[in-house]
Amino acid sequence: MKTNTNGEIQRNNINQQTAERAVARIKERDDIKDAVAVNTSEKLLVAYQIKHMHRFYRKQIEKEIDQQLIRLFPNYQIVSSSDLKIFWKTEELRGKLGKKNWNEQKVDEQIEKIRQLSKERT
Amino acid sequence: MMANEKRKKLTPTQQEYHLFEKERETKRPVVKNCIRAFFVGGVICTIGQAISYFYMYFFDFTEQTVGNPTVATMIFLSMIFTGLGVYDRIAQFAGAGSAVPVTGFGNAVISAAIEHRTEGFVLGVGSNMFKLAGSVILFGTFAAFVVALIKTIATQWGGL
Repeated sequence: MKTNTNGEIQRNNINQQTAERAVARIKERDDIKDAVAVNTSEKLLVAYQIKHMHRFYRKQIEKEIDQQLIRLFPNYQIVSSSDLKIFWKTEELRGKLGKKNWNEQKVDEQIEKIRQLSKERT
Repeated sequence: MMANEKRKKLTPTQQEYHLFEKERETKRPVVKNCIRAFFVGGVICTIGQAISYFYMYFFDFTEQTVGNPTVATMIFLSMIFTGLGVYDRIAQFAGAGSAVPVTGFGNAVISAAIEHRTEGFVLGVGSNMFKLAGSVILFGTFAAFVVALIKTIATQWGGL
């Protein structure tokens, strides 16, 4: 068990309960194929894949999910995307969380990077 | 109706020839051409999809931004294949299936450049390269402008 310099026990993993709850709620919808999420104490990053034929209603679905997430997790800064690349990136980050001992600041940075990538238009 | 009116202006000999021609002219295999175009066009689009997945997986492109490098790569590939004389054969077989995707644009540019190479670089290649592709650019830009105008009007004042 690791300790900080002041003797407190260092928490290795950031609690991912919020992320798991978000994933469970999104997967309940029947137009969602798969979802993955990562959270820190401030930020919540959610990525999901819309089922093939439902992609025609992509904008509508994104809007609904955004509203749902804001309602469910009002204390978090939410980043959500239906983009496949963001999904891959989030999955990768999720995997790294388990392996590497990242502190919250580092994870926040990674989430910010993904948010910026999802905002790119050209 | 229109065709009949037109034909009345023809002389009897011409009318006779028209019938003669109609009988002997080889029929265009429309259905066969459509099927060929569908499959070859589909294969080209599948290659494009594979390239865009490649860019998304190995580089930092999202679904939103991957279009540009994919289109550039597809045009580049079709230009190379036109230069090597391969694309012409595909086009002969597939018709619209190879002309309608963006690869057809690369083909139109390079084939015009090759055709006018003998006339020199400035007045030959330079002025003739966009002979065919120029209209694609012109009407593409114009159509985009019109659509954007309609969309702006509909969203700003139509309340859509």
